[in-house]
Amino acid sequence: MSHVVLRGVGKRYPNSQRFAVRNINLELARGEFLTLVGPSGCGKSTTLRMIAGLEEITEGDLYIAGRRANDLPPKDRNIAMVFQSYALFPHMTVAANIVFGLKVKGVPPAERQRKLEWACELLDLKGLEHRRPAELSGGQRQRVALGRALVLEPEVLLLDEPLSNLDAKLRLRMRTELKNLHRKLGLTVIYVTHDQAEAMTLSDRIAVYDNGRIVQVGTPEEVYYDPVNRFVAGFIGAPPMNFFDGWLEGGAFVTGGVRVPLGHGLQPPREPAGAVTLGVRPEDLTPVYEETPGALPGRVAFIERLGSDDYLVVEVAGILAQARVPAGTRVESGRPVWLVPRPGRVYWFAGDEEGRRLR
Amino acid sequence: MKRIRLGWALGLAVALFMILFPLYILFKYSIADRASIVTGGRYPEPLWPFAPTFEMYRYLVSRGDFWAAGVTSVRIALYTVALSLTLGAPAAYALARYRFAGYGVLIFTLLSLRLFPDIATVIPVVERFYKPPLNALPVEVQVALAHTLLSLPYVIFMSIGVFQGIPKDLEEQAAILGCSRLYTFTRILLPVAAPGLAAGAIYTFLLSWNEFIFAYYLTFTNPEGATLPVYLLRVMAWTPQKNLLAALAVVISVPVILFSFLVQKYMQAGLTAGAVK
Amino acid sequence: MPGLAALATGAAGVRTGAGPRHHLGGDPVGRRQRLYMWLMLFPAFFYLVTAFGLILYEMVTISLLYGPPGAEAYPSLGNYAEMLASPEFWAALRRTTVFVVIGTPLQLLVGLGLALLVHREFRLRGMVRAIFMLPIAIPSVVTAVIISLLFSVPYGHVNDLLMGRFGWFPRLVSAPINWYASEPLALGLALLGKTWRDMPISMLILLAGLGSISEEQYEAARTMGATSWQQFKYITVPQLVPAMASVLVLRSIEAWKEFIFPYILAPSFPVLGTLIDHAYHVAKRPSYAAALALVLVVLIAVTTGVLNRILRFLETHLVKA
Repeated sequence: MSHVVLRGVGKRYPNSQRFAVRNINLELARGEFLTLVGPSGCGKSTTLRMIAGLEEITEGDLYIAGRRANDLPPKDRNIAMVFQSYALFPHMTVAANIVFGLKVKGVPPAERQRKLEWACELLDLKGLEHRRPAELSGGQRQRVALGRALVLEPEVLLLDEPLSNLDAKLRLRMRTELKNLHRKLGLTVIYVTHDQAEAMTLSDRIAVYDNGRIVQVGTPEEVYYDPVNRFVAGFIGAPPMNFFDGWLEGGAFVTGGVRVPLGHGLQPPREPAGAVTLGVRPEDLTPVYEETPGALPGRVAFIERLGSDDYLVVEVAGILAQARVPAGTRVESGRPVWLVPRPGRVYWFAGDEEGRRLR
Repeated sequence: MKRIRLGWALGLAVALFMILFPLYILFKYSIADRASIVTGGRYPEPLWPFAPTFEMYRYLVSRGDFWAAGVTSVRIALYTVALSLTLGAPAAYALARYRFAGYGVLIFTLLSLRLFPDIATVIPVVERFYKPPLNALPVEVQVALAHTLLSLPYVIFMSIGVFQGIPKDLEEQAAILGCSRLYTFTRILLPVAAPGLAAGAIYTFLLSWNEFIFAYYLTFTNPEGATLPVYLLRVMAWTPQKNLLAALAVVISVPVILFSFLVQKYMQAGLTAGAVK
Repeated sequence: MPGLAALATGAAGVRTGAGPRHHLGGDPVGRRQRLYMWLMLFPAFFYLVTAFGLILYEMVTISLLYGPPGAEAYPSLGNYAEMLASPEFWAALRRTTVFVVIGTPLQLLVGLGLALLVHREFRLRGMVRAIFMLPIAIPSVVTAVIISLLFSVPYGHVNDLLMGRFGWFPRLVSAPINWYASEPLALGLALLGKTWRDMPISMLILLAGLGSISEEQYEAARTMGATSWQQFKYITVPQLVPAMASVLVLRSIEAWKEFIFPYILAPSFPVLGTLIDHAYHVAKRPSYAAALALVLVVLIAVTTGVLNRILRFLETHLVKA
């Protein structure tokens, strides 16, 4: 049986007609790392807060470790949560913060001390026990918040954007530490983030949210290489996928008045379609400097240099598309260029608002 | 530009003089010798005493009724602080955290209590306190209860902001860790809010220390119950001696001046509570 | 947006930062939360509302007891009839009105002056601000003592000065002035005390108003060549109107309520507050005192409402123009 189950879970706030999230179905195996990802306001935090018991569940069922948890208060759900702000108690020392939950639960002092030492060892907090949160660096605070959660030995660890208050460098390091911790302790983790890179690197599986619904659940590879719709394709991956709106007509893709004959890498979907959006990731576009069938014609606008890779920005039929090129590439702007899609890495989406993937 | 600077400097000098000169004069009288205040019109009163003396201070501290008034003042102020915070902090927390239908009404109630003049409210208050069962209360408690009526709206206003400044995450984290609401309020919220709540406490202390009308009316028939401002007024009635009056006024003012210097920015919060958007 | 109603919405505006997360629903947990909230609110509001409810109730019932002192009193409007027929009441009402009408704008001007003086960067600014706060820290009774010392009769510093006894100042009067025997002078001293002690309050409100005007607006005006006076007139004043309106409303309420300064410095020329005290402590007529008190409360409520209206009208018609 799955460790955490959400079945048809929805949340509607009182005095509101709309559901903030609806029809959330998720199953986590013990020890799984699941990430809820999506733009802000998509409902991922609300889902997490419902699991934590900070928001009531309007409809559907929540099971944690086989127990229906809908009506349990937070403390009886056997969960622990790390907040974006860390929510450390500023008037308590590091040690007092870490064992606070144990103290409230009536764990004897000797046991608390043992757990405290374990956590400080694990999280590299030794020697900081008597400091107060204000005297800690961002990364240390983060680890204290983690320690406070871990000593409870929760069934599920809930993390709400725990890295977003750190600077970029520290964020990368804590990302690695989190991953290691998860492996070492075999924790069941539900992680909320708006950063798709975090989701891709940390998770066993990813649930992509859009506008209060889950649009796709899958491994990082699945959501990256097999997105179900245009939203997922655009949200996952950086720099984002290039999109060209147009339609299919007599063996050609017409976009912005440019007719691109199909062929080679550019294969149409099997199902019939009219208005479509073509999506190709920057790394799947190769620029060539002579007319090529099945390639998108354009003109070089400029080169964006990121150091390890450069991105050639090309104006194709009135929009700017990116194509990855080896670092140090030199091309003068204005030069005509043809972007050749890699075979099998071309995505078609319905041209309507929903943007369903066409296969 | 230069003319404006000059005007500003001049204005500043005038303002400082207007504020400091009266205070200086008070101090000067308090250390004045007899010849400096009893001139018989033969010469003007000097701006610095002929023979400065602390005689009046020595006389004051030798008087039992002065000490009694001081103790009464301190006790009433402490009772008022305790009562105002006990009642005010939970209310401020609720007003800071929840959005509910009666919110505007409650805020309006707090503000409109300012419309009642103390000299008007004191009449029914005294009439109540003179009759059973309230006349059984010690007069210090009576005055503290009355002072709480004045300070409570301020304490609530000042503390709303303090609680708003505490992230909701702290409470939610406490709930997840298993704290009851009461435990969260007393062990997490109050300690975190304490420095901010101190502002309300200090403001309340000063308000009670300086208050005259309620203390005067409630201790009118009870000379032992006088607070320092009331004591000052009684001294004013029985002695024309300027130096004693001034010394007493200085003694009453020095603690509050020091206090308010230390906590200047908190005073500000109280004085403009509800007035600034 | 001056006045009480506006202040209420101002405070409400501040708290919307609490965010939309905390809703109260009709479900069991929500109901518990609501119960908890009311339990927290209850003690303070129960205390305030019952106290002021009782105060108002007693004020009315006591004021309706009319009879000669000592004799059995019976309910009637006798106190009010007597009050309206008494020249003292009308004189006190006139003095109180004058006190408000002169005192309120005076406090605004003094407060504005102080606020403008400290609203700029300079060395020791914190120190100066702290000094400007001193008057409010000391008890009113002490302030009254200071004034009575300065203006004592026949020989005080001010009389000495005016009579040219210091040598370096010209002799302006030949005999010492008895400040307390003249109505305008005595009330003037009371007003001086009140204004002196309360000026930091007006200053702080206006400083907050000044602080809300961004420095960039002045810089922008300067790049367009505005003089200091033009900056004051076109940038400072219009944006300071809400703060000034607050000062006017709050200070006028306080001026109506004033008791201590007239009581100590102008005992021979009672304002309404002094009259209440006189009725209670000297004439020993609590019911007449209560009637006067009720009239004062109503007077304040009405005039504050009217002032609020006028200011709002002026604000919308002057500022938007």
